[in-house]
Amino acid sequence: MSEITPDGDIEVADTPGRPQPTRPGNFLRNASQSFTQSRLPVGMFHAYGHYASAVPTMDDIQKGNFSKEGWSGPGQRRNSQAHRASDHHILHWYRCRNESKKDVEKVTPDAHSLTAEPSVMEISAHDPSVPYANGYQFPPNHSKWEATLIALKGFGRYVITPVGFVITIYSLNVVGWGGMLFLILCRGTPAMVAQCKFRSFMSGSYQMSIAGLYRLLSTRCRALRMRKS
Amino acid sequence: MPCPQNAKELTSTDGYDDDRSSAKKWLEVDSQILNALFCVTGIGLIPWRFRDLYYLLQWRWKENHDGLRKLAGIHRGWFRLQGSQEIDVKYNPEEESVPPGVNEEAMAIPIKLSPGPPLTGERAPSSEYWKMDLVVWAFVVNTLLQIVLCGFMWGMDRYTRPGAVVGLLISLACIIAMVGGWYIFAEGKRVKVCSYPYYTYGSFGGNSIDSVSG
Repeated sequence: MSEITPDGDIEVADTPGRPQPTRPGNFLRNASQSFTQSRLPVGMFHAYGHYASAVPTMDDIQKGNFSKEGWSGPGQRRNSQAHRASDHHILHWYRCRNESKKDVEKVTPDAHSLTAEPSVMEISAHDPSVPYANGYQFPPNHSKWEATLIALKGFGRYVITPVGFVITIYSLNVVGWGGMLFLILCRGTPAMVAQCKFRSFMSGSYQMSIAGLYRLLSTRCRALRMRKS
Repeated sequence: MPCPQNAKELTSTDGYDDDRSSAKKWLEVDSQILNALFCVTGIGLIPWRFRDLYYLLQWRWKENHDGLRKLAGIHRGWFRLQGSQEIDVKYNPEEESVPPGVNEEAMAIPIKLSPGPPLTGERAPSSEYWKMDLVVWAFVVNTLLQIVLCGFMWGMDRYTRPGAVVGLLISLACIIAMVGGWYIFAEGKRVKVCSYPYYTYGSFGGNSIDSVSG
């Protein structure tokens, strides 16, 4: 499957890396390929490290590096001093990519390039510390409260993804059961003493009272010692 | 010894350390549940962990550089090949073929898993390769320790199982996995500070292609 691009180059759309899934013989090949390239986290701490490295700081959110939609390209470039001259290329690429996604009706390549070029020329690298000639100012920093809300929304969006959901449930289980194990090991659960069956007066509302609970416990301990000796 | 007068005194009695105490029973329940949870990652992820080890050995032992390039594609969230920082910042491996003059050794296998064009306009410097060895081996050792732990947890009952060995195995397995995770965290932060790709929440690895191939 190939198509002729407007430039006259022949573009091979059917790359060898992506076999067509309709052919039945390709099922195993697809499966093995998706396994050898799959990027599943290989452990909980892999996932923790991966996601923790992508968590924004409060400063990132307040400055706008991280917006409601996640990490923001324009926001990061606005606050970055890195390679400002190269911004044209990236903005151009990013803009073309977004436009081609949004456009429902087909635009001819010539018209597209004609409209895209001037829009790129309008954008120029600018040092944020220098005020613009036309009076434009960068948006003000978010307040702490706004930043917290953005962070919470970001976490909410992460939790409802499949990977985020599984990791959250798994972590809560480890913390919960591990916490109970810890409490037992450091003797934080003093009521968990040995139970003896031969003194079975634990019926009714007797043990609901403090005095009843005390007598219940003391009787059990006595019974246990008697059995041991 | 007189009967305990309050809860604090009660903890020092033998009613707590007795094997019949509910503390010991719940200790067993908690340990088995935690062991099962660790099995999900330690045993369940064996195919992926040993696939990474296979690629690592292909590179280190057979001295085939393609193994490292495959690892770079899989671990592109935190790992960068040497020479990848010199690739043009506007080059997008997802959509374009390799530009002339670029050494393919600095790109991942498959090429489309190479780092995308960074929105900050700067590519991250390359990673130190020993960190890849450390991370891959950390998770493999974690799996081996987990298998030994399973032997103790499933082969012995709570009366005969040595608690010190179980505690040691869990600690070692946890520490080794934490070391691997820490390097992924630290390196991921280093890579992303320089060249954060467009990050989407649904994908593991910060790129839309991950949900397709993963």
